[in-house]
Amino acid sequence: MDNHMLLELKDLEVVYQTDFENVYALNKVTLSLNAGETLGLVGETGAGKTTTALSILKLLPKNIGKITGGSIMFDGVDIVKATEGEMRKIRGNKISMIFQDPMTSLNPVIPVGEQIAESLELHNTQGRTAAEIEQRVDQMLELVGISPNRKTDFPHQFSGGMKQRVVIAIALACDPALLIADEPTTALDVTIQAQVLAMMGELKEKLNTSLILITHDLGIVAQICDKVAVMYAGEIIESGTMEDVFSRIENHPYTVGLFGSIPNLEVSTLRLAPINGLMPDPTDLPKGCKFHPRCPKCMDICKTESPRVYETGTHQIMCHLFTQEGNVIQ
Amino acid sequence: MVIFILLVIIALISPMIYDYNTDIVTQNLRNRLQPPTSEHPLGTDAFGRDVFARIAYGARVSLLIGFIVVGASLVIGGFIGAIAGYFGGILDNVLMRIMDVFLAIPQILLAIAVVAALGPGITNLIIALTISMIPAYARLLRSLILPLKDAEYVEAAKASGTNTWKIIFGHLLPNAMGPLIVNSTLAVGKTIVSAAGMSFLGLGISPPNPEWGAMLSEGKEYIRYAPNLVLYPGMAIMLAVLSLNLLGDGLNDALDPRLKQ
Amino acid sequence: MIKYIIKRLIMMIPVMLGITLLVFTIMSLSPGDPGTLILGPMATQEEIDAKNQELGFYDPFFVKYFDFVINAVQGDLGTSWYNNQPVTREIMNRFPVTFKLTIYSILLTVIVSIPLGTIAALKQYSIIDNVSMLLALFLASMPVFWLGLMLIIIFALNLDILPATGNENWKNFILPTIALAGSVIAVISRMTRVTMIEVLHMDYIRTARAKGATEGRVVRKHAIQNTLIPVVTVLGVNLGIMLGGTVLIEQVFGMAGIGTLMINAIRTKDIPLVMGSVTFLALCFSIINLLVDISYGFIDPRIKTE
Repeated sequence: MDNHMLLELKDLEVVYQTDFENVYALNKVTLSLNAGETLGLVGETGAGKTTTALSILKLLPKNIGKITGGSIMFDGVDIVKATEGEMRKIRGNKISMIFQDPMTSLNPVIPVGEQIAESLELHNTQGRTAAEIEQRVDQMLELVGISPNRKTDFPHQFSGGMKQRVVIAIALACDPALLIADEPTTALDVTIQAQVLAMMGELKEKLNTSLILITHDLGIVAQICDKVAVMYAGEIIESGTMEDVFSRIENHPYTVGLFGSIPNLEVSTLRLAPINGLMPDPTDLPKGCKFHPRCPKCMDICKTESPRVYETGTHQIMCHLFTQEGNVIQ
Repeated sequence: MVIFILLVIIALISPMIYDYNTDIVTQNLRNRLQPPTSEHPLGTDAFGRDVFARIAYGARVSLLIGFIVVGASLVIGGFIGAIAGYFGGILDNVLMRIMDVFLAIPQILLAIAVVAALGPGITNLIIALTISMIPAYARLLRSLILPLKDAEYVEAAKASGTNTWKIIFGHLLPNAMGPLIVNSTLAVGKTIVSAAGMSFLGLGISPPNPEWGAMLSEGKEYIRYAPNLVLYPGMAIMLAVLSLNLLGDGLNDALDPRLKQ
Repeated sequence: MIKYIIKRLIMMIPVMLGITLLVFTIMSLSPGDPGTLILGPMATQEEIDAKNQELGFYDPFFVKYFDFVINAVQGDLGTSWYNNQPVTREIMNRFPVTFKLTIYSILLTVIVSIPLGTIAALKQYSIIDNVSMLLALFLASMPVFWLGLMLIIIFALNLDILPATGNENWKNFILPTIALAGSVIAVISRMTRVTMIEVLHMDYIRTARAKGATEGRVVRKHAIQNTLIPVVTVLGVNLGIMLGGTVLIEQVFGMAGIGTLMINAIRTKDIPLVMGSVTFLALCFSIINLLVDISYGFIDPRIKTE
């Protein structure tokens, strides 16, 4: 397997500017992903997961969302500096995205086959004929487990899970190098969730696509991811391989809290331990560590100084708990 | 909003400035078709009457018709819609099919037909416009009541033995108030235009009474010599409707909880 | 689709019956009687009574109504009390003018307002958006007949480039068409703008952008059709207002259409002619609604496959 670096985000900063306030959505986000790898991007609603994804495609809301610093290198191209024309050649072709809600992400007035064919038509670098495109559409539908003779049907004639399969077919039609899936199963029933996830994992292996899986569900991450990055208030506060994070030897207190929020079958507990408090207001972030108001292990230094990154091998944690004991980098 | 208040003020104070008999309806043929002067700010009409005074008086007529018609259709149409929506079933079906028939005739045409049968005049005009507006309100109220009637506070009221009418008027209507107010504001504007249209056709208020549409109808005869006779009354209608539309839009934004932060 | 059309056609029958019953009821409230009108003021009461008897005027309400419906189905809307002509023929003589006026106005509305609303939505808060929406706000508040009068003053009296009245050639139709379409254009442009802005925020538009589609393609292929769904509904409602507006516009521009026919009939208390005209225009409105529903079926696949 070709293991070169496919995507690298460095110190990415994104601000949403409205008439009234500036929302600091991403603060120095650094991430990397090799070809064929799966990265789980975990965090609460509002942590900046979707913003990260939209930045990679440069589809931040027009006139409001702005990349104010950092770089996004994809396959040797700096996306931050790329023109709209260059981006259009990348979108849907080399990078595809699956959005959260399959109910609304398909156009209700266009047959699903046509919607799959559209990305093929837009990125027809191989010079496919109309018949070949049709063939490819059939092939994609079969791949996601939908009978090709349903391609003239409209989205409303499909169930939620089936719609998400169509969305996946659209995303994979052009054999993208990177697939970004933004909570692809949140809107689906639990049984359908498992099916869709299993299918995505399978297809990813088959097509050797890299995958960024955005979720707030650590269970899903454990199922199919190679790497994990935990986001909080626009920062990556912990990242590493699956083993690094899930072995639970050393974790950011927030990650510990996330683990505490899921039921464990092996240990009997009376009740789940939720993380107290709410995400900070992104227009007015707290000084020091952004997690300190909610942190059960908060120290004095956390309230004044931003923590640095503590690194052991592939595992990175941004917390004063670890950096104080030495092993400091940067 | 400002224009509307101004209009209401003009309508209210006009009788204090101008005497109905001498200024508004009495003809003064020596003064006919005068251009605007300080004495007659908008000139005089073909019978030597002050145009501004007549427009000011016309505001009373138009606003009065607007409010009476909307009020009456709101009460009658609203009642039909509310009981149809609340009770559902056959009653709903029958009432709504009847309303569909009314709605299948363009509103102004229905009003024309009623006036054709009853004869012109302000009372008949109001009846005609009210009849033509009832079905719209019946539909509106029904659509507002339907999603509310299964709400939990209604179930709670039913469970505690509250009288049906009290549920409809005490619990459901207040919750439908927002859209109703917005809609009524816009409806007053529509009614003013319809009333003017009817009078213009000679089916509403007839000269020499000062009504904007009737003034336009009269002015049309002199359009070649005194275009201001059709300019100003129309402008009055437009400003009245415009102010009501803006007021409606403003209320809509103010009452829409989605826009409230 | 065909099933849907047939269903809609069948649904029209009870509505038309209801309309005739409604119009018939309203008209029976009228104090006029044919005998007085036909025989004139010189006739004696006996002569009038005899004439009314002969015409079936004293028959019970429902007998008269059923006669009317049975004849109407066969295309006979009765006989004018005023000039003894068949109502159907009178209406058919006037129909082309009203028909042309309505069709031209509908076309003008669609051609102007949908592109205008789209452009305004795409260039939100630009000069073209602000100016056209301000204009639309004023236009929507103008009574059609006053807009007509203003157009006459400007283009016929001051500039003298277009005729003020009549319906002889195409030039006669320019001003009435603009006047009739004016307020509907305003309403539909605003509606198109608002809907288009809403649609452009939908998830499937983001999906299209994520596929690498250009903005032009996003609008043409993905947004327009979805925008049209609610716009067509509002257009349908406004076509009724437009049809009613023809009555006023015909008066303003002195055109010999059904509206003028009806107003004259009201003045002469010619009840069969009034009733025929109202029924006929209501039928036209029902047909327009049917066409709107059918076009709706083409735009929205959710209806087609129902």
